[in-house]
Amino acid sequence: MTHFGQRVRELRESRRNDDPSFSLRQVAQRIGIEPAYLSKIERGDLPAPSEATTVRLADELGEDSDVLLALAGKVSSDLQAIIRKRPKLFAQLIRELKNAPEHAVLRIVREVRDGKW
Amino acid sequence: MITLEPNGRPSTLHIQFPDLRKNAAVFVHFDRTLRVPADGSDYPMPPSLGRFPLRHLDDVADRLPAPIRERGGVIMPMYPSEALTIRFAEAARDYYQDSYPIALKIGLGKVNALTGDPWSDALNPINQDYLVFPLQESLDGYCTARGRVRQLIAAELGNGQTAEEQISGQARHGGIQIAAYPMKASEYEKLEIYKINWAGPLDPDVESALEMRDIGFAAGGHIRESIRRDPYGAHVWDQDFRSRCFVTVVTPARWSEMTGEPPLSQAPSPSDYAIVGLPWLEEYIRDDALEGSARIAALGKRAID
Repeated sequence: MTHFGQRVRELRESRRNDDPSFSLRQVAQRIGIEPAYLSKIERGDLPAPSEATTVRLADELGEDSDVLLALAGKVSSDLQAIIRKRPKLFAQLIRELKNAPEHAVLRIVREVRDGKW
Repeated sequence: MITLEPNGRPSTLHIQFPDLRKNAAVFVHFDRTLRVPADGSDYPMPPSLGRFPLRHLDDVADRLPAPIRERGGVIMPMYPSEALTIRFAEAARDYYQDSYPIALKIGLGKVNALTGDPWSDALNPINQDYLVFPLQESLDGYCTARGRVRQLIAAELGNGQTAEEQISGQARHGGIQIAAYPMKASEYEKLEIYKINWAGPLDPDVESALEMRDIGFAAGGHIRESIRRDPYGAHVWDQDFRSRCFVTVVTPARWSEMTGEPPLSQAPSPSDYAIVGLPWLEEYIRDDALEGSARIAALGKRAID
């Protein structure tokens, strides 16, 4: 099983413990794919699905969509668009913060600027 | 410092003074509400119907003239003729920590909401022109008498409907101005602070769009609301630690054009309100509430209805 498939299965099974509507068939139905397809994904027989489907899966299973996409080897297209718009700026930011501890990264907040009035 | 929250789709100003104390903070948000009829009767406070979205003005500054860009602050959409309620909520990180008192000045088109005086950055020690958080949880209008406010109704600048235009004769500013002043640390230490129940933030409503001029606020129908008198005295507020923000208000069409976001949902009609059966908030009038502005009380009723 791939990490992605494994994680999806873990998440789904743990939900199913509390809620029988998280069977493979019902989850597949709710996100609009074939149960057989979801089964193959969970077993690692097929690679991770499209971004859109992965995001639906994340929402359904209560997982952060960026986290699940990362397991699928992807970065969400909105993040890609943001970086591509100002590639030098954001590339620098991300590389410089690559190893920074979590609290240091989170401390970069954007303040509301007060001007002249 | 002021930040926008939550990330992604912000609708709340988080005003904090982290250098002072961790719990010296307040959330301010601007909520859609229903208009009360401007028929001379007093009405109870209508409920909030969700928060208007807020964005950094700098993010859309390239589409704005220089005098507006200079203000900084944030930008927010409202439909002309819809009503606004301003809410103040506890932002202390630790639920069990007491609220740190913060004085808040509110201006509408740089007219002080409590006194009708022109905006100034200083607190008036003689004629209280500021609210005290957490004693005051909301502001629904221009204070015009004890226990009474005239509702804030969005109106395009240039029609003479806003209080700013009717008082100053000019349509220069519009929008909402906020300045926050925390209690001095030395004064806070002297106090015995009692715990305030946190009402909690309301779920954001949002969505749906129109066009063009900036928006200010006309004085609408009467609402029963007391502006709490400052029990501490003007000397306790730290005016060196002031935090300000100009909220530029634009029509939803302009908002969508500037932010590229989907338009603001349609303002509800009174019958929508009746159908939903939402409760009105009742409030009793306090003896020590502020007297308000006779000047705004006297403003003519223009064709806002």
